[in-house]
Amino acid sequence: MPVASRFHNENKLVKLNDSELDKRLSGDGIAMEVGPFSVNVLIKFKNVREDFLKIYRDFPFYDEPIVLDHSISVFGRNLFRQYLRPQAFVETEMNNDTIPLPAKIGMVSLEMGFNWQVAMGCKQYLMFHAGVVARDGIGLIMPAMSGSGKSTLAAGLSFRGWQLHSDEFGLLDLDAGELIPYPRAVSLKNQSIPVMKEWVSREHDNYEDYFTPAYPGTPKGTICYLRPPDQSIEEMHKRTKPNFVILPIFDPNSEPKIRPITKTMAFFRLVASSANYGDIGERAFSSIAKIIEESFVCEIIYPSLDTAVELVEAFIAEHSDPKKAGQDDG
Amino acid sequence: MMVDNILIDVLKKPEIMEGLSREQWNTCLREAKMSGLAGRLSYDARDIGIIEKLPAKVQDIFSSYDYNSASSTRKIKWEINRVKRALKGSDEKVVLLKGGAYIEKGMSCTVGRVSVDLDILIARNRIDWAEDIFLKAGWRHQVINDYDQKFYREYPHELPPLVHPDRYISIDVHHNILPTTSKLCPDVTKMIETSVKMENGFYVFSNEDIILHSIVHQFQDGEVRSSLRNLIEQHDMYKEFGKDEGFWQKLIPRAIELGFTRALYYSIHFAKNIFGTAIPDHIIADIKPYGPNIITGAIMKFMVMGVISPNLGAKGIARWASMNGLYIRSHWLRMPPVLLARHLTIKFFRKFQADD
Amino acid sequence: MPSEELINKSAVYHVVNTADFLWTSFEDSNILYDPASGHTQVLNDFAREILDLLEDGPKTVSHLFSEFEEIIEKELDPDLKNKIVETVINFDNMGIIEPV
Repeated sequence: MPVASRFHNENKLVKLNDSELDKRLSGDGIAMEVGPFSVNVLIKFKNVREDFLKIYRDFPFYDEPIVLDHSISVFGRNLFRQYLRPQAFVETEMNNDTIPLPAKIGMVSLEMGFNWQVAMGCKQYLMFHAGVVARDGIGLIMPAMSGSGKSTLAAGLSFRGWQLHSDEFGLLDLDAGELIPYPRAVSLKNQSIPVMKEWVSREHDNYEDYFTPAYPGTPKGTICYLRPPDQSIEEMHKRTKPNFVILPIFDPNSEPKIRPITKTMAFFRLVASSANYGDIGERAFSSIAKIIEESFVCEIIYPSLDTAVELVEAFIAEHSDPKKAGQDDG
Repeated sequence: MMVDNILIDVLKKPEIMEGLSREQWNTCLREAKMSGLAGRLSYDARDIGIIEKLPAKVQDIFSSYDYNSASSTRKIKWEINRVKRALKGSDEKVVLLKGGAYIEKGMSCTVGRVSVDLDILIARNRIDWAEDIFLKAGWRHQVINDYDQKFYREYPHELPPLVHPDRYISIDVHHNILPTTSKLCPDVTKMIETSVKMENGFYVFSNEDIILHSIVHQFQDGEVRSSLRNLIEQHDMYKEFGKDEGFWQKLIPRAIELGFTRALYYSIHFAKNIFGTAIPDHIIADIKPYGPNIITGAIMKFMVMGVISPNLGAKGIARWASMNGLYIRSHWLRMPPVLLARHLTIKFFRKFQADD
Repeated sequence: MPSEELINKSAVYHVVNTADFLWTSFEDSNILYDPASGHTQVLNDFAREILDLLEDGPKTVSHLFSEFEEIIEKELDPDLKNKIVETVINFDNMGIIEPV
């Protein structure tokens, strides 16, 4: 039985009334569905619950008992840490070794806990450190190092009609060869925060509603989270085969440019972006070989989000018939 | 000693997995993950042919752990292959310890198991020679601070861990199985002498010594977190080695010879009580005199049960205390008291700085 | 420094797990996955040729030199010899070949 049929679309967190939500989130937690995972979330701090709901309010939850992939709890380790000098500690049940953060930025702990679980405990899917989006049968993987702007680019595309799979964790079903959506809070850092606010404001008057407060003073500077577009959350079960691989390079002083790369280069960039390639082994090799065979590949260098989106769409338009994918290298 | 613990029940009788409720699965999987035994459950379910009858989500989670253990086995085997290549042309006796030995011997306890490093043992006077060979073949000392370097060099029983930059499996080159400062440190030459040569040229301990090593490792060494995993490993070994009557005849005399009787007592005691391991009556009778006095025994039991079965006590705090209690105890057994105080103090300050 | 001196020229190398290797190739390279190590390597056509020769049968480096000389029908220059030696050393380090 596919996992998808076990959840009810109408069961969005936001359908519960506030006091019920608060009671459950702070009590035994709520089992919810995030992409292919079932996660129990328990949050002891009120401010963290509020920030959490800002992002995840439209995500489905389970009313009946469900086998969980993960459990995550955010709490103070003792009364002092809960109330007097509140410090949010994250327990992921996976021997995590995260450093507690002040409770006012507890949302960051929660998201780090989510990341830890998927990075450490998810070997059944091939995972790419990449932004992934989809549209009309086109599955686009954008593998990149931190700081390449891939989060911003993936989020940017998703607010221009693309389905956001993930700004950071691309997941591939090894049997079906399909990308699995894993929409979560988009993590924006420092200067990308005003960029995305401006970007979302062009489409939505209530754009502030999509963002959590900014959290200054994290190990990575100021962080702010963005809720995926409503459509992407609705389409959380819609999978797509990958057929484009684009390596994004953000350089504020560059001329926007599409640069051809070899398939070998694209192959190794995908391998290098995968955290669990080495664990999965043979099937990971065959899957990536197949993706690269069937995909158009290139590199884009861009100075701004606007130019990046233009370049991506131009490259895809140029190779718009997916059936031809892989037959020439442009 | 009755334990109400679903993970232990499932390990003892994997067929009950078929009837678990969703809530029971969550408890069972949580504890299995924390104890490093999820891969083992997956193997068991496949082995008895019930995997397809389990909830889809459970199969999905299990497949993740299957990749984990397969990958760990492949990495350890490959590291052994690379060590063999580096040592080519020498006829030095190199003994594979723990996971490496279990894998190369194809022992039943390796199923679903994850090993993170490779341990080998070599005669003390050949240790510099071995280090030299590994460094020339591309392994590097894992980046550790001066204090750790000094600690490894002066006191314990192994070189600072070596890691090859292409691979990330760390090799621990031992010249003894316990720190030379430990009052339990055995005359390891006896264990090397009786070790057995395998087809690939490496040696492994005799069966008695393999299990005794696992036992002293659990009950004296610093590895308390995976206590349940160690115990089931010993349970598997009693079952596998015990088919040979010679094993039982040699076990206690060997423990006496090496000075491991107390640890053996604990292992037999806990394995029998927790997993119902089939131990011959004469062994139970013969090991009894080596048990602890009642007070020590009760404390030990309390602590071990707390670690093995975290949902028995008052959850978090009890578990934490128990872990740290056992941790201190195992260090106490490893090093003379003055050294211990120094080591823990420094460890504490380093952690403190890291937390800040 | 001539890397020819880095290798024992009388050592006979053979390919270890030929049958298990997985291959894929793109326009400019051959990519090899070795299930024993779990490692992925990229080989250009030159390196692929050396591996092919060793797959045909165990050979010393001197053998490889003469095989290549037959293929290109002239004497190998020192630079090419060095490249062959380097490749053999690399293959050995990767664990896809080893001395018999």
